[in-house]
Amino acid sequence: MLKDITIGQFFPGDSIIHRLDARMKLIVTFAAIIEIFVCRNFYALALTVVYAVAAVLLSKIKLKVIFRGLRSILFIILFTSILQIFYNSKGDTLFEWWKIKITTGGLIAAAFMVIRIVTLILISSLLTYTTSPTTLTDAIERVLSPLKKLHVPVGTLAMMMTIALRFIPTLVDEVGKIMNAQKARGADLDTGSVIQRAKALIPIFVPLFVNSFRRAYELAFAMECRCYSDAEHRTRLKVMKLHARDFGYLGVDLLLLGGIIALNILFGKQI
Amino acid sequence: MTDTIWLRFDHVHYSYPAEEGQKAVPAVTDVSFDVHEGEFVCVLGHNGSGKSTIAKLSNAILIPDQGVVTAMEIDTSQESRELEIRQNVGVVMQNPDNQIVATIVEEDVAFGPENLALPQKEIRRRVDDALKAVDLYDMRFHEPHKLSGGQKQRVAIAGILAMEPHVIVLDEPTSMLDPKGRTEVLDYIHKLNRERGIAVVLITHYMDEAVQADTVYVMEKGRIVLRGTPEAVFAREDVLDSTGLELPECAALASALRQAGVPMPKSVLSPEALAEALAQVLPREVTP
Repeated sequence: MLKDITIGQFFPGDSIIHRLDARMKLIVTFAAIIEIFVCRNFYALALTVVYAVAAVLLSKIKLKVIFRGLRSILFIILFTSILQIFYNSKGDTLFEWWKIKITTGGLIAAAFMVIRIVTLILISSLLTYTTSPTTLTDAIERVLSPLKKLHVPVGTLAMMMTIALRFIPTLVDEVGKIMNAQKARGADLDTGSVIQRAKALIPIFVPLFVNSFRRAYELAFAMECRCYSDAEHRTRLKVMKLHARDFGYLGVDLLLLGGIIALNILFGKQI
Repeated sequence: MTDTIWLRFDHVHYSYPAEEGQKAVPAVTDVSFDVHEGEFVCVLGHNGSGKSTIAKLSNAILIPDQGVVTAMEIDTSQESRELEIRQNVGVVMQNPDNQIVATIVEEDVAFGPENLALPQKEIRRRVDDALKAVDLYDMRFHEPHKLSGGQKQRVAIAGILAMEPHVIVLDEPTSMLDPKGRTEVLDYIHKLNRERGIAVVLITHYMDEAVQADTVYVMEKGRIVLRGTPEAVFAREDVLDSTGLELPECAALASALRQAGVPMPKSVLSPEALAEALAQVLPREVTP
């Protein structure tokens, strides 16, 4: 179960997507997410799909990884699409029983929603797949740095994010170890009702929390030993520099936006 | 060895703040010792002997209740010079998992120099240099959680090394490692001491790690009970017995032989010394 979590994971590589400036990737990804929601018909949506697929192919991330990431949100996709099918009652009725009515409009809306969510996940997970978490938090820090003027502790927030990301694999490992330790003591984690299983998780989470606090204490000590005093006055190993390719990337995104707007006007609202 | 003293404990006392309704237990009582330029010091002690407190006192994480700790001639109670002290006296801890901050090896090593607000070029130079010193340069883009325990501890050492300290204090750096990782880490610690002249304070409960030290201090209940060269310290079995520490294998064997009536010299610490001592007493010719 825990090994399936790939959202937020980084896969080192040397593709053009990997080499793009993280700040630009961050901004363009946010722009693209908004653009996906601007789409009003299938033609515009198809354009975002083309964009997402092209980006995935260019990133040279294994398709297996991409599908695994999508599988973990399968439930959300199913849930929203079922909701769409029942909620939307436009178009011809295909099936009716008691209060349940399935219409062509509902099916189209569901398909639209599924494509939209999948594209959304593709584009946003590509950001974390191709950018090391430290670079990403670095980029977030730099993109948000104007907020420093308003006394927002941007550096500290970025540091907290880095540490959280750093400890995900460590804690996942630890959950596995504690689970095995409790199983060895006769804990039954896999059978019983939902409530029973939830209760069985308590002896997993209590030691996990206790250990996390101990870890946090030790980490704070280690950081102090390495002269950490405040996050706002640090220098960086990596200097971020914008290249021509980064502006090219922005250009592609602007073209996408233009295309979407044009198709929206051309074909009108379908959904 | 020259006379320059890089780290000095002068009659240091320290007690952790007492919890409500409890009496403060002194962790360190009247501890004095000097670490000279380029010296390899080993502090031996069992759990609760106060040896980890020594590490925290050495770089101003804790300030002594009484007495003075001086790091590179700076009194550690001067709060304004805290960073200077910590840059000069680096501390490596027991659990490598809890002292690695970043998700990429080289970015973690850069953490210290980044905090010192060094220029980017200087950070790059120090990171590369530190990684080469522990032979992890080829793994600089790896994720720390995928490395072995020994490699993780080497990353932690490189992280300290990148601050270019004069003294490195290691608090039980090998206790969470497997035997292979242990030798690996110890080899690098000795190499740094030998080749870079970095003074090392190795805090441990493994007596065999103390064999190659210049000076050994044995701690019990917060006090230093023995001090001297490894040979001199290991010869004092009377005191060592009460500390609950175990003799290095060769010394333990020599001691057992002595008790069984085989004449053995007082300080047998290495396999070579043991072989020589045995050669003296064994019959020269072995009949098949």
